[in-house]
Amino acid sequence: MIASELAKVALQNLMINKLRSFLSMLGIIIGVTAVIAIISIGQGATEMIQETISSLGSELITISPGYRGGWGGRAARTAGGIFTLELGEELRKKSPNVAQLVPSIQSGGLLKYGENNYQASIVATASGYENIFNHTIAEGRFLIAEDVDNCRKVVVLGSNVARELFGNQNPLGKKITIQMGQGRFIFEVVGVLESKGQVMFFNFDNQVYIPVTTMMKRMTGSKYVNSYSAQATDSEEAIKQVEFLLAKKLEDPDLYNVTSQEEILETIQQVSSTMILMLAGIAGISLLVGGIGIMNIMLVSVTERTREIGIRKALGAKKKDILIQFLIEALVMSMVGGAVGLVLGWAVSVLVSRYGGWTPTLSMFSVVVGIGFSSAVGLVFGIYPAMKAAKLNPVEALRYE
Amino acid sequence: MERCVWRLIKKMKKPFIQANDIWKIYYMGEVEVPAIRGISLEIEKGEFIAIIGPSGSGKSTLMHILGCLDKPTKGLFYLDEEDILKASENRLAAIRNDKIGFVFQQFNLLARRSALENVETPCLYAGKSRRERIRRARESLAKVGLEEKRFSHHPNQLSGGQRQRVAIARALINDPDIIFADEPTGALDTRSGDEILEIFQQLNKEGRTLILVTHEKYVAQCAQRIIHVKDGKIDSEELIAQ
Ligand SMILES: Nc1ncnc2c1ncn2[C@@H]1O[C@H](COP(=O)(O)OP(=O)(O)O)[C@@H](O)[C@H]1O
Ligand SMILES: [Mg+2]
Repeated sequence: MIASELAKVALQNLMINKLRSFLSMLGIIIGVTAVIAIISIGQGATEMIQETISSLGSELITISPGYRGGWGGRAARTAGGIFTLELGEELRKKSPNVAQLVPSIQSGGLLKYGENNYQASIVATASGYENIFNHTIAEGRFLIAEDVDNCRKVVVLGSNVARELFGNQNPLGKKITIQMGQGRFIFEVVGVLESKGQVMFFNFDNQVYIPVTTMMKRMTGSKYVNSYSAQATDSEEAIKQVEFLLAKKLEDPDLYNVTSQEEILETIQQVSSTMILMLAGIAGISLLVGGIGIMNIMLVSVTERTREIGIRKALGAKKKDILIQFLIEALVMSMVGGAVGLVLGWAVSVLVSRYGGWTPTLSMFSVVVGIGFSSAVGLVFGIYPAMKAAKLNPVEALRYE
Repeated sequence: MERCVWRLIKKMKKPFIQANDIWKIYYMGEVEVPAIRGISLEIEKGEFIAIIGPSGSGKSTLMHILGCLDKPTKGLFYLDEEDILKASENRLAAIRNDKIGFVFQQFNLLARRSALENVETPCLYAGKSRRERIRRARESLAKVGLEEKRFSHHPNQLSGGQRQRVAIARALINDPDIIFADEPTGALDTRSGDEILEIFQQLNKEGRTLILVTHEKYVAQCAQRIIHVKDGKIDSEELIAQ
């Protein structure tokens, strides 16, 4: 009962010196605002990235060349010249959990149609790629088995490329020129893909797709592809099977890398949560500084009110009554600061999320952290001044001028 | 035989306050400042005592000790048969709250609280409910003759005499056994000083024990017994015929 009474007194005292109370709370307000905003923005952004990655299909497996680190006089380089079309076929046939598997070669080239030209990424691949990456056809068709078997010079355009080259015209059936290195090749447009948008640092809409065999036999003469992309029915099992086959074939495990989308998701999650924690930690330091501000003002307040403390003790206040009174004052200050910070932090994260394009989330975690930390700070930094007040000798306090 | 009976009576009923050769020594670095130098005194319930002496003679120090605000450096001190030298800080606070009321020269009201809230304070530390506190505070303020319209005023909105009335009301609220007043008229003009002294006399008539500290002879004349203090010692005592 006394505690609620003392809380009222504490609030009144804070109201008497509004500007001073506000300035003392500022550190806590800024600290909590930062913590709440960082956690909320971090979570929102991470969720958005995860969503777009998941939209590629979570059972996606990528088999890419290994990276050999420079060591003992060897230069670091990416392993090349190991993935053949035949190897891909074999991996697909012998891994029961691999539903589909396509080879791909990434390259770039200048595309021309009439007056228009466009620098695009060229992906040489095979039929099935569109299923693995969840692409939808807007017009015409994707590459089919016959295109690959016959090394046809046909191309499927990403939505950006189609718009840049053809504007409002219908691209289907049109012939475009692809200039790659010294060579110029005429291709017929057989399809256009729906827009997929930016996925992290990668824009599918800037890509064009041609049959992998056309690229190898007619354009570069290479016998090797860059990587394989596979659709698994169970990605964990599929990875085991592919790795087993590759180990038998290639012996050196440094030559290849098998990763699933799930692993990539996990990595992103780990990296981002580490980042969020780090940033929140830095914000936490400003909370600490805020606590020191509160301690400072409480020490001033104890000195200013020495006589009041003396009077209260003469009237029968026990040590704990004085302690509670000053502790509540520090607590009220830090908790009001925490509440204001919570609201501000939420406002900041709503604003930022509007630009970032994700839905803002206010997790229980950040509310607990915000309110919990600020009251902990109030307790920790309020206890010393409060104890100082409680310990005052009543006669000396009454004599204080 | 006579002495035996006397001893027995004394054993049965100790005086309310019994101080025996009490000393208070302040230490200022290496220097010892003895403010009280061996004072013995007994006070019974219902007495009205004045402690008089020149400035610096140790009156306030003595009052603080008798009022359990401070402990003597050495000696024996019993209040209501309780050994105060052995009491804990919390116990002393409880005794001050329950059995003792203080009135100071500088009023010592809480500046940011209304008259009513000031009077309530000892009741708050006694753990009384809000209703009970307000009821008692109003009663107490009425008793010292403060007009009702002033109850909500802050100390700086009150005259010196009114402030001292509030202070007396505050001292009375927990119905203490004894009230200590340290130069209660020292900051007042003669008229309001006299009014305050009248209140004290009235309180004593109702059976309240009072100890009045002063350096003015005419103030001390209100009491029944005057204790003269000089250099931290009792110089003499006189009884006033009423
Ligand atoms: N805290 C203290 N430290 C040192 N000396 C003190 C202290 N309090 C009082 N004294 C000294 O004790 C003496 C008595 O003081 P006090 O009781 O206030 O006298 P009075 O009330 O009779 O004027 C004075 O000489 C004063 O200087
Ligand atoms: Mg004095």
